[in-house]
Amino acid sequence: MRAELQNVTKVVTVRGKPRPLFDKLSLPIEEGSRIGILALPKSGKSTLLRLICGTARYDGGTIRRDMNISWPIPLSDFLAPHSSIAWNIRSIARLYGVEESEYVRRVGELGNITKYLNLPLPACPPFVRPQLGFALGIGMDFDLYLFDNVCVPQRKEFKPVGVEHLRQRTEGRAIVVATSLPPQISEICDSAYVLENGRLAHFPGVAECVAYFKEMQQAEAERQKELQGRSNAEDDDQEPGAEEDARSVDMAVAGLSDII
Amino acid sequence: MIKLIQTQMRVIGAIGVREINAQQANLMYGYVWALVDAALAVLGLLVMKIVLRAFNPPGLPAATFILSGALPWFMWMALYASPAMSISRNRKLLSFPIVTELDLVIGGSLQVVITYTVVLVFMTSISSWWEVVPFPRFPLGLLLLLLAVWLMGLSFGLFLMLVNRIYAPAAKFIAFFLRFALFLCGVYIPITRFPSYVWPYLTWMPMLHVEELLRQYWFYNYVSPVGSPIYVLECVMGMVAVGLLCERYARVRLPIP
Repeated sequence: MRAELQNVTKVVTVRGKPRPLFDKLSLPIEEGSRIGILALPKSGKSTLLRLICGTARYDGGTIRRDMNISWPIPLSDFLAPHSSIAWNIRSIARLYGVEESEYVRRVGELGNITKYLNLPLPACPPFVRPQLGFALGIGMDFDLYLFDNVCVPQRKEFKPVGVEHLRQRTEGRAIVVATSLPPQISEICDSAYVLENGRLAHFPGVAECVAYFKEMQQAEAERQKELQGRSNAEDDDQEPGAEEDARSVDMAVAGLSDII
Repeated sequence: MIKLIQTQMRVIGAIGVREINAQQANLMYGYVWALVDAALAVLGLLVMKIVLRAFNPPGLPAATFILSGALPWFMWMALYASPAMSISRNRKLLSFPIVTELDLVIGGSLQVVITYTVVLVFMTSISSWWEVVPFPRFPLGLLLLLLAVWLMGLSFGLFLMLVNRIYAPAAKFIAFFLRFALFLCGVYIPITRFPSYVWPYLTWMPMLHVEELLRQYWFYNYVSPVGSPIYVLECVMGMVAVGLLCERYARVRLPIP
């Protein structure tokens, strides 16, 4: 059993102009492998996970999926706010053909939210939603689990328990973590990639990958700072009337994007 | 292949249950209000028909006559509006790899069909008891006609969804024209009340055939001069093919607005 992305290309439209997001991107995922993907924000991590699980379209290349793949965890947007948490869990169980009562109990225990099961979501404390999203995903049996940005909810009281549940539930199964937070992959993954310029670069060790990514982050931070400084200098050079003009153009663009 | 179909059937069922639960969920007794809404939609026509007693074919019970035609008509209207609505309401479910847009559309329509069928059975049972109308003459034919209404409504809805994605205000004009169809499709006025020279201009409408056949299969003393089951079948097949093509085109070429 394996999943594989071969020379996948995807083009996205940014401000009306096509821009390649992935350019001949390849990623083999073997049974039981634990892969970490480090990428800067807005570089296509979530899209890559959606390509792997099959909910996003791509423009070229091939994607093979011979395994049962999860949705990008933690996902909780789909929860019906007027219904109880138990009802929401049962609804997902029905979707995946899982025995309902057992799944509700399992998700309650994995997410440490058993006492909130009969409440609707708005009546629960804010930490319930991420813990529920996490538990819904790892509570289901998949061959490959996908994690988007964070593996385990970051609440201090829950994190150690969550990491333990994650280890138990994903033992012997493949996982892919796509994140911009290096600590998320350091503990869990045994191979790592960096997503840069629409391609994946493989690193033999996770530590090397993290070191390279930190350099990348630093370079990006410096680039951003330089851009910021340049735009501030341009603002200072502008005449008072020009500044007003620029502001009105910005407002017009913002208004236009609202309408769009 | 069979496993794939079973999975999609299960997904559609789960979405249908979710849709039923979501109806009027902010009110106490939630889904009951969806049933009340459907009943109220037809109640105005029913009162008009009983009070005016106009356009009624001789020997037919007024209330059962209007209910047997109006509820399938309102079901069709709710069905053609449902694809775009169920996709926008449940689009977050598309994050699940096993859920497709078509599942959302069919799941949403399942809720409409169940709601209107329950109201149809309930209201016609009461009216039949009140007007002493015997059990329908050909129940299987009625079930098949309701299935035809489901498929035609859904397919027309998929076509409208595509039109709406290309040019959003088009839906307003379509709704305007469809209001006339209520009176021309035999819901309120049976075809026999129109002069016969008008019939050739009306009989192209598949819903007219459905309405006429509904009455023919329901009542023992009503024989439709125009209702054709073969024409309904042809229309269902054609509309389903066009509807599925529109859905595919909208999914592949046009993003969800």
